[in-house]
Amino acid sequence: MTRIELTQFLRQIGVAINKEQEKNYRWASRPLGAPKPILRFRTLKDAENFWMKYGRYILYKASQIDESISKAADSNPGVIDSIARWLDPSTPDAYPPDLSEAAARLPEYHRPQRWKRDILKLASELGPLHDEWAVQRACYYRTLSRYGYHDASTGNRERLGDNADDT
Amino acid sequence: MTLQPETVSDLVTTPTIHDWILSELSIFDRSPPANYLSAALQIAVFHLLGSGISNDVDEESFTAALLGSFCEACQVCVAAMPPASNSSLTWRRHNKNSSGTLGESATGADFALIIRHNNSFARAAVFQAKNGQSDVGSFKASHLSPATKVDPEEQQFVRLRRYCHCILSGKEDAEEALLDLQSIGWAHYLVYENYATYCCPLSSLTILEHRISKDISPGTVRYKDYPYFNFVDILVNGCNQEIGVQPGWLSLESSSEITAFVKSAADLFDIYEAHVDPTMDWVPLIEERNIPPQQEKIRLIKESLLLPSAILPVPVPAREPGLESKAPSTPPASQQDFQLATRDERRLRKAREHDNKGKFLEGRKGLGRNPRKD
Repeated sequence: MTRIELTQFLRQIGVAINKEQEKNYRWASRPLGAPKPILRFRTLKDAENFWMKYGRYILYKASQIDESISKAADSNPGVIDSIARWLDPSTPDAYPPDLSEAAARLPEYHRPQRWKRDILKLASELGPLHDEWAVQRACYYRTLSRYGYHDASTGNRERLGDNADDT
Repeated sequence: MTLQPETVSDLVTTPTIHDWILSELSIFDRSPPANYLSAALQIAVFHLLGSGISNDVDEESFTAALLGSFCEACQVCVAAMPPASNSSLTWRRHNKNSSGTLGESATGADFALIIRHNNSFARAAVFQAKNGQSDVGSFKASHLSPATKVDPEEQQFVRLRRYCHCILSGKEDAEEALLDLQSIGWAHYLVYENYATYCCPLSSLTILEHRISKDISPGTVRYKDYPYFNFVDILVNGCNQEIGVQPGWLSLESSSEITAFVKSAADLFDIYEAHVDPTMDWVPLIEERNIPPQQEKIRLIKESLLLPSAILPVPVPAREPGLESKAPSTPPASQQDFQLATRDERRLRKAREHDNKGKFLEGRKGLGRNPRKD
Protein backbone atom coordinates (compact mmCIF):
# COMPACT_ATOMS: atom_id res chain seq x y z
CA MET A 1 0.00 0.00 0.00
CA THR A 2 1.16 3.51 -0.65
CA ARG A 3 1.23 6.02 2.13
CA ILE A 4 -2.04 7.55 0.96
CA GLU A 5 -3.75 4.16 0.66
CA LEU A 6 -2.60 3.12 4.12
CA THR A 7 -3.66 6.44 5.65
CA GLN A 8 -7.10 6.14 4.09
CA PHE A 9 -7.50 2.51 5.10
CA LEU A 10 -6.51 3.18 8.70
CA ARG A 11 -8.78 6.19 8.90
CA GLN A 12 -11.67 3.96 7.91
CA ILE A 13 -10.97 1.62 10.83
CA GLY A 14 -10.55 4.53 13.25
CA VAL A 15 -6.79 4.93 13.30
CA ALA A 16 -4.69 7.94 12.33
CA ILE A 17 -1.10 7.61 11.20
CA ASN A 18 1.33 10.51 11.07
CA LYS A 19 4.96 11.17 10.45
CA GLU A 20 6.31 11.88 13.91
CA GLN A 21 10.00 11.42 14.66
CA GLU A 22 10.88 9.87 18.00
CA LYS A 23 14.43 8.54 17.99
CA ASN A 24 14.50 5.82 15.31
CA TYR A 25 10.75 5.81 14.90
CA ARG A 26 9.34 7.94 12.14
CA TRP A 27 5.68 6.95 12.19
CA ALA A 28 3.11 7.04 14.94
CA SER A 29 -0.44 5.77 14.96
CA ARG A 30 -3.23 6.70 17.35
CA PRO A 31 -6.99 6.30 17.63
CA LEU A 32 -8.64 9.07 15.65
CA GLY A 33 -8.90 12.13 17.87
CA ALA A 34 -6.67 10.70 20.63
CA PRO A 35 -3.95 13.02 21.98
CA LYS A 36 -1.24 10.35 22.24
CA PRO A 37 0.01 7.76 19.78
CA ILE A 38 -0.53 4.15 20.80
CA LEU A 39 2.14 2.64 18.59
CA ARG A 40 5.28 3.82 16.85
CA PHE A 41 6.96 2.31 13.83
CA ARG A 42 10.34 2.64 12.19
CA THR A 43 8.96 2.44 8.69
CA LEU A 44 5.64 2.73 6.96
CA LYS A 45 6.03 -0.91 5.98
CA ASP A 46 6.23 -1.90 9.66
CA ALA A 47 3.04 0.06 10.31
CA GLU A 48 1.32 -1.60 7.39
CA ASN A 49 2.42 -5.06 8.59
CA PHE A 50 1.09 -4.45 12.07
CA TRP A 51 -2.28 -2.99 11.11
CA MET A 52 -2.87 -5.50 8.33
CA LYS A 53 -2.20 -8.44 10.62
CA TYR A 54 -4.16 -6.85 13.42
CA GLY A 55 -7.11 -6.16 11.10
CA ARG A 56 -7.11 -9.72 9.80
CA TYR A 57 -6.91 -11.03 13.36
CA ILE A 58 -9.92 -8.92 14.38
CA LEU A 59 -11.81 -10.30 11.42
CA TYR A 60 -10.87 -13.83 12.50
CA LYS A 61 -11.90 -13.11 16.08
CA ALA A 62 -15.24 -11.64 15.01
CA SER A 63 -15.91 -14.70 12.90
CA GLN A 64 -14.93 -16.99 15.80
CA ILE A 65 -17.29 -15.21 18.21
CA ASP A 66 -20.12 -15.16 15.70
CA GLU A 67 -19.81 -18.81 14.73
CA SER A 68 -19.26 -20.14 18.23
CA ILE A 69 -22.37 -18.38 19.49
CA SER A 70 -24.38 -19.71 16.55
CA LYS A 71 -23.10 -23.24 17.09
CA ALA A 72 -23.73 -23.12 20.84
CA ALA A 73 -27.21 -21.67 20.33
CA ASP A 74 -28.06 -24.39 17.82
CA SER A 75 -27.50 -27.09 20.40
CA ASN A 76 -28.65 -25.11 23.43
CA PRO A 77 -30.76 -21.99 22.86
CA GLY A 78 -30.48 -21.17 26.56
CA VAL A 79 -26.85 -20.28 26.05
CA ILE A 80 -27.91 -16.88 24.70
CA ASP A 81 -29.19 -15.91 28.14
CA SER A 82 -26.00 -17.20 29.73
CA ILE A 83 -23.87 -15.14 27.36
CA ALA A 84 -25.93 -12.05 28.01
CA ARG A 85 -25.56 -12.50 31.78
CA TRP A 86 -21.83 -13.10 31.44
CA LEU A 87 -21.41 -9.93 29.37
CA ASP A 88 -23.21 -7.85 31.98
CA PRO A 89 -20.46 -6.43 34.25
CA SER A 90 -22.91 -6.12 37.12
CA THR A 91 -23.38 -9.89 37.32
CA PRO A 92 -20.78 -12.38 38.56
CA ASP A 93 -21.65 -14.91 35.85
CA ALA A 94 -18.70 -16.73 34.32
CA TYR A 95 -18.04 -17.38 30.65
CA PRO A 96 -20.52 -20.05 29.54
CA PRO A 97 -18.83 -23.46 29.17
CA ASP A 98 -21.11 -24.24 26.22
CA LEU A 99 -19.54 -21.36 24.36
CA SER A 100 -16.00 -22.60 25.07
CA GLU A 101 -16.95 -26.04 23.81
CA ALA A 102 -18.52 -24.61 20.68
CA ALA A 103 -15.42 -22.48 20.00
CA ALA A 104 -13.22 -25.54 20.34
CA ARG A 105 -15.30 -27.38 17.72
CA LEU A 106 -15.18 -24.66 15.06
CA PRO A 107 -13.94 -25.70 11.62
CA GLU A 108 -10.60 -24.39 10.40
CA TYR A 109 -10.74 -20.70 9.58
CA HIS A 110 -10.15 -19.65 6.01
CA ARG A 111 -9.32 -16.04 5.38
CA PRO A 112 -11.96 -14.44 3.16
CA GLN A 113 -10.66 -13.47 -0.26
CA ARG A 114 -11.83 -9.89 0.10
CA TRP A 115 -10.64 -9.52 3.67
CA LYS A 116 -9.86 -5.80 3.35
CA ARG A 117 -13.41 -5.07 2.30
CA ASP A 118 -14.68 -7.23 5.19
CA ILE A 119 -12.56 -5.35 7.72
CA LEU A 120 -13.97 -2.05 6.53
CA LYS A 121 -17.46 -3.51 6.75
CA LEU A 122 -16.78 -4.66 10.30
CA ALA A 123 -15.54 -1.18 11.25
CA SER A 124 -18.62 0.42 9.74
CA GLU A 125 -20.79 -1.90 11.87
CA LEU A 126 -18.84 -1.91 15.14
CA GLY A 127 -16.94 1.37 15.12
CA PRO A 128 -13.17 1.90 15.56
CA LEU A 129 -11.17 -1.30 15.65
CA HIS A 130 -8.04 -0.22 17.52
CA ASP A 131 -9.18 -1.59 20.91
CA GLU A 132 -9.15 -5.36 20.62
CA TRP A 133 -11.21 -5.87 23.79
CA ALA A 134 -13.86 -3.31 22.96
CA VAL A 135 -14.20 -4.86 19.51
CA GLN A 136 -14.65 -8.31 21.00
CA ARG A 137 -17.34 -6.99 23.32
CA ALA A 138 -19.06 -5.33 20.41
CA CYS A 139 -18.88 -8.58 18.46
CA TYR A 140 -20.60 -10.48 21.25
CA TYR A 141 -23.35 -7.87 21.46
CA ARG A 142 -23.77 -7.78 17.70
CA THR A 143 -24.28 -11.53 17.52
CA LEU A 144 -26.59 -11.50 20.54
CA SER A 145 -28.67 -8.83 18.83
CA ARG A 146 -29.28 -11.31 16.02
CA TYR A 147 -30.85 -13.54 18.64
CA GLY A 148 -32.99 -10.74 19.99
CA TYR A 149 -30.84 -8.79 22.45
CA HIS A 150 -30.73 -5.10 21.70
CA ASP A 151 -29.32 -3.89 24.97
CA ALA A 152 -27.35 -6.68 26.54
CA SER A 153 -25.89 -4.44 29.23
CA THR A 154 -29.33 -4.15 30.84
CA GLY A 155 -30.28 -7.70 30.04
CA ASN A 156 -33.29 -6.67 27.94
CA ARG A 157 -33.99 -9.13 25.24
CA GLU A 158 -36.39 -8.62 22.42
CA ARG A 159 -37.56 -12.01 21.32
CA LEU A 160 -37.78 -12.80 17.67
CA GLY A 161 -40.07 -15.45 16.24
CA ASP A 162 -43.61 -16.63 16.65
CA ASN A 163 -43.62 -17.08 20.41
CA ALA A 164 -41.95 -13.78 21.25
CA ASP A 165 -45.04 -12.50 23.01
CA ASP A 166 -45.59 -15.66 25.05
CA THR A 167 -43.36 -14.58 27.92
CA MET B 1 17.35 -35.05 23.62
CA THR B 2 18.95 -35.99 26.91
CA LEU B 3 22.41 -37.45 26.66
CA GLN B 4 23.55 -40.18 28.98
CA PRO B 5 26.48 -39.37 31.26
CA GLU B 6 28.86 -41.40 29.08
CA THR B 7 27.99 -39.23 26.08
CA VAL B 8 28.17 -36.00 28.01
CA SER B 9 31.63 -36.94 29.20
CA ASP B 10 32.74 -36.85 25.57
CA LEU B 11 31.96 -33.16 25.57
CA VAL B 12 33.25 -32.31 29.01
CA THR B 13 36.94 -32.17 29.56
CA THR B 14 36.97 -30.94 33.12
CA PRO B 15 35.61 -33.89 35.07
CA THR B 16 35.33 -32.10 38.36
CA ILE B 17 32.96 -29.46 36.99
CA HIS B 18 31.11 -32.05 34.96
CA ASP B 19 30.62 -34.21 38.04
CA TRP B 20 29.54 -31.21 40.04
CA ILE B 21 26.91 -30.33 37.42
CA LEU B 22 25.52 -33.86 37.44
CA SER B 23 25.51 -34.07 41.20
CA GLU B 24 23.77 -30.68 41.57
CA LEU B 25 21.07 -31.81 39.17
CA SER B 26 20.74 -35.25 40.74
CA ILE B 27 20.04 -33.62 44.11
CA PHE B 28 16.80 -32.43 42.54
CA ASP B 29 16.20 -35.71 40.68
CA ARG B 30 16.94 -34.14 37.31
CA SER B 31 18.30 -36.16 34.39
CA PRO B 32 21.73 -35.43 32.94
CA PRO B 33 21.43 -32.29 30.80
CA ALA B 34 21.32 -32.16 27.03
CA ASN B 35 23.87 -29.37 26.98
CA TYR B 36 25.69 -26.94 29.23
CA LEU B 37 22.98 -24.28 28.93
CA SER B 38 20.27 -26.64 30.08
CA ALA B 39 22.40 -27.47 33.10
CA ALA B 40 23.19 -23.84 33.80
CA LEU B 41 19.61 -22.60 33.67
CA GLN B 42 18.32 -25.43 35.85
CA ILE B 43 21.07 -25.01 38.43
CA ALA B 44 20.51 -21.27 38.44
CA VAL B 45 16.86 -21.73 39.40
CA PHE B 46 17.60 -24.39 42.03
CA HIS B 47 20.26 -22.28 43.68
CA LEU B 48 18.11 -19.18 43.59
CA LEU B 49 15.21 -20.99 45.21
CA GLY B 50 17.56 -22.59 47.70
CA SER B 51 18.93 -19.20 48.67
CA GLY B 52 15.49 -18.14 49.86
CA ILE B 53 15.58 -15.00 47.74
CA SER B 54 12.21 -15.80 46.18
CA ASN B 55 10.51 -15.73 49.58
CA ASP B 56 8.15 -12.79 49.38
CA VAL B 57 10.49 -10.52 47.45
CA ASP B 58 9.16 -7.95 44.98
CA GLU B 59 8.90 -8.84 41.30
CA GLU B 60 11.68 -6.58 40.07
CA SER B 61 14.14 -7.95 42.64
CA PHE B 62 13.21 -11.54 41.80
CA THR B 63 13.76 -10.90 38.08
CA ALA B 64 17.11 -9.28 38.72
CA ALA B 65 18.21 -12.12 41.00
CA LEU B 66 17.08 -14.75 38.49
CA LEU B 67 18.93 -13.18 35.59
CA GLY B 68 22.03 -12.70 37.71
CA SER B 69 21.84 -16.35 38.69
CA PHE B 70 21.47 -17.38 35.01
CA CYS B 71 24.50 -15.33 34.06
CA GLU B 72 26.70 -16.73 36.80
CA ALA B 73 25.60 -20.35 36.30
CA CYS B 74 26.37 -20.04 32.57
CA GLN B 75 29.90 -18.92 33.35
CA VAL B 76 30.45 -21.86 35.67
CA CYS B 77 28.84 -24.53 33.50
CA VAL B 78 30.56 -23.41 30.33
CA ALA B 79 33.84 -24.12 32.08
CA ALA B 80 32.92 -27.78 31.72
CA MET B 81 33.12 -27.40 27.96
CA PRO B 82 36.31 -27.94 25.96
CA PRO B 83 38.90 -25.20 26.39
CA ALA B 84 38.23 -23.88 22.88
CA SER B 85 34.93 -22.51 24.04
CA ASN B 86 34.59 -18.84 24.61
CA SER B 87 32.43 -18.30 27.62
CA SER B 88 32.03 -14.64 26.83
CA LEU B 89 29.69 -15.63 24.03
CA THR B 90 27.18 -17.41 26.16
CA TRP B 91 25.10 -14.62 27.52
CA ARG B 92 24.06 -11.32 26.04
CA ARG B 93 21.62 -8.66 26.97
CA HIS B 94 19.86 -6.15 24.78
CA ASN B 95 18.55 -3.39 26.95
CA LYS B 96 15.28 -1.90 25.84
CA ASN B 97 16.28 1.35 27.48
CA SER B 98 19.16 1.81 25.09
CA SER B 99 19.14 4.26 22.22
CA GLY B 100 16.40 3.75 19.71
CA THR B 101 13.78 2.45 22.04
CA LEU B 102 10.52 4.01 22.94
CA GLY B 103 9.36 3.66 26.42
CA GLU B 104 10.32 3.02 29.96
CA SER B 105 9.84 -0.29 31.59
CA ALA B 106 6.30 -1.34 32.26
CA THR B 107 7.13 -2.89 35.60
CA GLY B 108 10.80 -3.83 35.39
CA ALA B 109 9.79 -7.46 35.89
CA ASP B 110 9.32 -8.50 32.28
CA PHE B 111 11.95 -9.88 29.95
CA ALA B 112 12.35 -11.93 26.80
CA LEU B 113 14.67 -14.92 26.66
CA ILE B 114 16.07 -16.18 23.37
CA ILE B 115 17.81 -19.52 23.26
CA ARG B 116 19.79 -19.81 20.09
CA HIS B 117 20.57 -23.23 18.70
CA ASN B 118 22.31 -22.12 15.56
CA ASN B 119 22.28 -19.05 13.37
CA SER B 120 19.03 -20.04 11.76
CA PHE B 121 17.09 -21.56 14.64
CA ALA B 122 16.17 -20.16 18.01
CA ARG B 123 13.42 -20.31 20.58
CA ALA B 124 12.01 -17.29 22.32
CA ALA B 125 9.75 -16.73 25.28
CA VAL B 126 8.55 -13.76 27.29
CA PHE B 127 8.26 -13.81 31.06
CA GLN B 128 6.46 -11.46 33.41
CA ALA B 129 7.37 -12.15 37.04
CA LYS B 130 4.51 -12.45 39.51
CA ASN B 131 4.66 -12.90 43.22
CA GLY B 132 2.46 -15.89 43.91
CA GLN B 133 2.67 -16.13 47.65
CA SER B 134 -0.57 -17.89 48.31
CA ASP B 135 -1.46 -21.37 49.48
CA VAL B 136 -3.95 -21.99 46.69
CA GLY B 137 -1.64 -21.00 43.83
CA SER B 138 -2.81 -17.63 42.61
CA PHE B 139 -1.48 -14.24 41.56
CA LYS B 140 -2.92 -10.80 41.14
CA ALA B 141 -3.50 -10.01 37.48
CA SER B 142 -5.02 -6.59 38.12
CA HIS B 143 -1.71 -4.72 38.09
CA LEU B 144 -1.84 -1.52 36.08
CA SER B 145 1.12 -0.84 33.82
CA PRO B 146 2.09 2.82 34.01
CA ALA B 147 1.72 5.23 31.12
CA THR B 148 4.79 5.59 28.90
CA LYS B 149 5.60 7.86 25.98
CA VAL B 150 3.45 5.59 23.85
CA ASP B 151 1.27 3.47 26.08
CA PRO B 152 -1.56 4.78 28.20
CA GLU B 153 -1.97 3.43 31.71
CA GLU B 154 -3.60 0.06 31.19
CA GLN B 155 -4.00 -3.43 32.54
CA GLN B 156 -0.69 -5.27 32.51
CA PHE B 157 -2.31 -8.20 30.73
CA VAL B 158 -3.62 -5.92 27.97
CA ARG B 159 -0.16 -4.46 27.43
CA LEU B 160 1.55 -7.82 27.48
CA ARG B 161 -0.98 -9.11 24.97
CA ARG B 162 -0.44 -6.12 22.66
CA TYR B 163 3.33 -6.47 22.90
CA CYS B 164 3.02 -10.10 21.83
CA HIS B 165 0.89 -8.96 18.93
CA CYS B 166 3.54 -6.40 17.94
CA ILE B 167 6.18 -9.12 17.98
CA LEU B 168 4.10 -11.50 15.91
CA SER B 169 3.28 -8.83 13.36
CA GLY B 170 6.99 -8.85 12.49
CA LYS B 171 6.80 -12.58 11.75
CA GLU B 172 6.18 -13.14 8.07
CA ASP B 173 4.05 -16.27 8.36
CA ALA B 174 1.92 -15.07 11.27
CA GLU B 175 -1.54 -16.24 10.33
CA GLU B 176 -4.64 -14.99 12.10
CA ALA B 177 -4.94 -18.01 14.38
CA LEU B 178 -1.35 -17.50 15.53
CA LEU B 179 -2.30 -14.10 16.92
CA ASP B 180 -5.11 -15.54 19.00
CA LEU B 181 -4.52 -15.54 22.74
CA GLN B 182 -4.87 -19.30 22.81
CA SER B 183 -1.83 -19.55 20.54
CA ILE B 184 0.35 -17.37 22.73
CA GLY B 185 1.81 -20.12 24.81
CA TRP B 186 5.24 -18.50 24.65
CA ALA B 187 4.46 -15.52 26.89
CA HIS B 188 4.22 -16.47 30.53
CA TYR B 189 3.40 -15.13 33.91
CA LEU B 190 6.41 -16.41 35.85
CA VAL B 191 4.89 -17.10 39.24
CA TYR B 192 7.39 -17.48 42.05
CA GLU B 193 6.65 -18.87 45.45
CA ASN B 194 8.81 -19.71 48.45
CA TYR B 195 10.51 -22.72 46.92
CA ALA B 196 8.90 -23.01 43.50
CA THR B 197 8.58 -21.21 40.18
CA TYR B 198 5.79 -21.86 37.72
CA CYS B 199 4.93 -20.63 34.26
CA CYS B 200 1.39 -19.72 33.44
CA PRO B 201 1.19 -19.07 29.67
CA LEU B 202 -1.18 -16.43 28.33
CA SER B 203 -2.81 -19.19 26.30
CA SER B 204 -4.09 -20.65 29.57
CA LEU B 205 -5.54 -17.36 30.68
CA THR B 206 -8.57 -16.96 28.49
CA ILE B 207 -10.30 -16.23 31.80
CA LEU B 208 -8.53 -12.85 31.73
CA GLU B 209 -9.65 -12.26 28.18
CA HIS B 210 -13.20 -13.07 29.23
CA ARG B 211 -13.03 -10.72 32.21
CA ILE B 212 -11.67 -7.86 30.12
CA SER B 213 -14.22 -8.55 27.38
CA LYS B 214 -16.82 -8.29 30.11
CA ASP B 215 -15.28 -4.93 31.04
CA ILE B 216 -14.31 -5.92 34.55
CA SER B 217 -10.92 -6.00 36.30
CA PRO B 218 -8.77 -9.10 35.69
CA GLY B 219 -8.61 -9.55 39.47
CA THR B 220 -6.85 -12.56 40.94
CA VAL B 221 -6.17 -15.73 38.97
CA ARG B 222 -5.99 -19.19 40.49
CA TYR B 223 -3.52 -20.32 37.88
CA LYS B 224 -3.39 -23.90 39.08
CA ASP B 225 -6.94 -24.31 37.82
CA TYR B 226 -5.56 -23.95 34.28
CA PRO B 227 -2.69 -25.54 32.35
CA TYR B 228 0.62 -24.40 33.79
CA PHE B 229 4.22 -25.58 33.78
CA ASN B 230 7.18 -25.83 36.05
CA PHE B 231 9.62 -23.07 35.06
CA VAL B 232 12.55 -25.48 35.11
CA ASP B 233 10.79 -27.77 32.62
CA ILE B 234 10.17 -24.79 30.34
CA LEU B 235 13.87 -23.96 30.44
CA VAL B 236 14.78 -27.57 29.64
CA ASN B 237 12.32 -27.53 26.73
CA GLY B 238 13.94 -24.38 25.37
CA CYS B 239 17.38 -25.99 25.42
CA ASN B 240 16.19 -29.14 23.67
CA GLN B 241 18.34 -29.37 20.57
CA GLU B 242 15.81 -31.23 18.47
CA ILE B 243 14.61 -28.64 15.98
CA GLY B 244 10.91 -28.08 16.25
CA VAL B 245 8.18 -26.66 18.41
CA GLN B 246 8.55 -27.05 22.16
CA PRO B 247 5.83 -26.23 24.69
CA GLY B 248 6.22 -22.75 26.11
CA TRP B 249 8.40 -21.39 23.31
CA LEU B 250 8.04 -19.54 20.04
CA SER B 251 10.12 -21.20 17.34
CA LEU B 252 12.13 -18.83 15.17
CA GLU B 253 13.09 -20.84 12.15
CA SER B 254 15.37 -18.62 10.12
CA SER B 255 17.93 -15.91 10.74
CA SER B 256 15.46 -13.32 9.44
CA GLU B 257 12.81 -14.53 11.89
CA ILE B 258 15.30 -14.32 14.74
CA THR B 259 16.29 -10.82 13.70
CA ALA B 260 12.67 -9.76 13.29
CA PHE B 261 11.84 -11.03 16.77
CA VAL B 262 14.71 -9.13 18.31
CA LYS B 263 13.89 -6.01 16.34
CA SER B 264 10.30 -6.04 17.59
CA ALA B 265 10.93 -7.28 21.10
CA ALA B 266 13.87 -4.96 21.78
CA ASP B 267 11.49 -2.03 22.04
CA LEU B 268 9.25 -3.82 24.46
CA PHE B 269 11.37 -5.93 26.76
CA ASP B 270 14.91 -6.41 27.95
CA ILE B 271 16.13 -9.32 25.88
CA TYR B 272 18.50 -11.96 27.21
CA GLU B 273 20.13 -14.23 24.72
CA ALA B 274 21.92 -17.48 25.42
CA HIS B 275 23.41 -20.13 23.20
CA VAL B 276 23.35 -23.89 23.65
CA ASP B 277 26.74 -24.16 21.99
CA PRO B 278 29.29 -21.66 23.25
CA THR B 279 31.82 -22.71 20.63
CA MET B 280 29.70 -21.49 17.75
CA ASP B 281 30.27 -18.17 16.10
CA TRP B 282 27.57 -15.88 17.30
CA VAL B 283 26.22 -13.40 14.82
CA PRO B 284 25.14 -10.24 16.65
CA LEU B 285 21.42 -9.65 16.46
CA ILE B 286 21.41 -5.92 16.97
CA GLU B 287 23.92 -4.20 14.79
CA GLU B 288 24.22 -0.98 16.71
CA ARG B 289 24.99 -2.71 19.95
CA ASN B 290 28.65 -2.32 20.82
CA ILE B 291 29.96 -5.37 22.66
CA PRO B 292 33.66 -5.12 23.49
CA PRO B 293 35.81 -8.21 22.90
CA GLN B 294 36.46 -10.47 25.89
CA GLN B 295 40.02 -9.24 26.37
CA GLU B 296 38.83 -5.66 26.37
CA LYS B 297 36.16 -6.47 28.93
CA ILE B 298 38.76 -8.15 31.17
CA ARG B 299 41.05 -5.12 30.82
CA LEU B 300 38.25 -2.74 31.79
CA ILE B 301 37.28 -4.83 34.81
CA LYS B 302 40.90 -5.15 35.93
CA GLU B 303 41.41 -1.45 35.54
CA SER B 304 38.46 -0.78 37.80
CA LEU B 305 39.98 -3.08 40.44
CA LEU B 306 43.14 -0.96 40.84
CA LEU B 307 43.28 1.35 43.79
CA PRO B 308 43.55 5.02 42.93
CA SER B 309 47.05 5.17 44.55
CA ALA B 310 48.31 2.62 42.06
CA ILE B 311 47.31 4.50 38.95
CA LEU B 312 47.34 8.12 40.04
CA PRO B 313 50.42 10.09 41.13
CA VAL B 314 50.62 10.26 44.92
CA PRO B 315 50.20 13.87 46.00
CA VAL B 316 53.21 15.08 47.97
CA PRO B 317 52.06 17.07 51.01
CA ALA B 318 53.30 20.66 51.06
CA ARG B 319 56.09 21.13 53.55
CA GLU B 320 55.45 23.54 56.35
CA PRO B 321 58.14 26.12 56.98
CA GLY B 322 60.63 25.00 59.60
CA LEU B 323 59.77 21.33 59.24
CA GLU B 324 62.16 20.55 56.35
CA SER B 325 64.40 18.40 58.52
CA LYS B 326 61.45 16.26 59.69
CA ALA B 327 60.08 15.60 56.23
CA PRO B 328 61.54 12.49 54.57
CA SER B 329 63.84 13.25 51.67
CA THR B 330 62.57 10.22 49.74
CA PRO B 331 59.09 8.66 49.56
CA PRO B 332 58.37 5.67 51.81
CA ALA B 333 59.54 2.27 50.60
CA SER B 334 56.08 1.23 49.46
CA GLN B 335 55.85 4.26 47.21
CA GLN B 336 59.38 3.64 45.93
CA ASP B 337 58.26 0.19 44.83
CA PHE B 338 55.79 1.81 42.46
CA GLN B 339 58.06 4.60 41.40
CA LEU B 340 61.33 2.66 40.75
CA ALA B 341 59.89 0.70 37.94
CA THR B 342 62.66 0.29 35.39
CA ARG B 343 65.44 -2.25 35.51
CA ASP B 344 68.11 0.44 35.90
CA GLU B 345 66.19 2.00 38.72
CA ARG B 346 65.84 -1.31 40.47
CA ARG B 347 69.57 -1.97 40.04
CA LEU B 348 70.34 1.46 41.46
CA ARG B 349 68.07 0.83 44.41
CA LYS B 350 69.72 -2.53 45.09
CA ALA B 351 73.16 -0.89 44.98
CA ARG B 352 71.98 1.76 47.42
CA GLU B 353 70.58 -0.89 49.74
CA HIS B 354 73.85 -2.83 49.51
CA ASP B 355 75.77 0.34 50.21
CA ASN B 356 73.57 1.20 53.18
CA LYS B 357 73.89 -2.35 54.47
CA GLY B 358 77.69 -2.12 54.31
CA LYS B 359 77.64 1.20 56.15
CA PHE B 360 75.25 -0.26 58.69
CA LEU B 361 77.57 -3.23 59.30
CA GLU B 362 80.58 -0.94 59.54
CA GLY B 363 78.66 1.11 62.05
CA ARG B 364 77.82 -2.06 63.99
CA LYS B 365 81.48 -2.99 63.99
CA GLY B 366 82.37 0.46 65.20
CA LEU B 367 79.72 0.32 67.84
CA GLY B 368 81.06 -3.04 68.97
CA ARG B 369 84.56 -1.74 69.34
CA ASN B 370 83.90 1.50 71.10
CA PRO B 371 80.21 2.18 71.50
CA ARG B 372 80.33 5.28 73.58
CA LYS B 373 83.58 6.79 72.45
CA ASP B 374 81.97 9.72 70.63
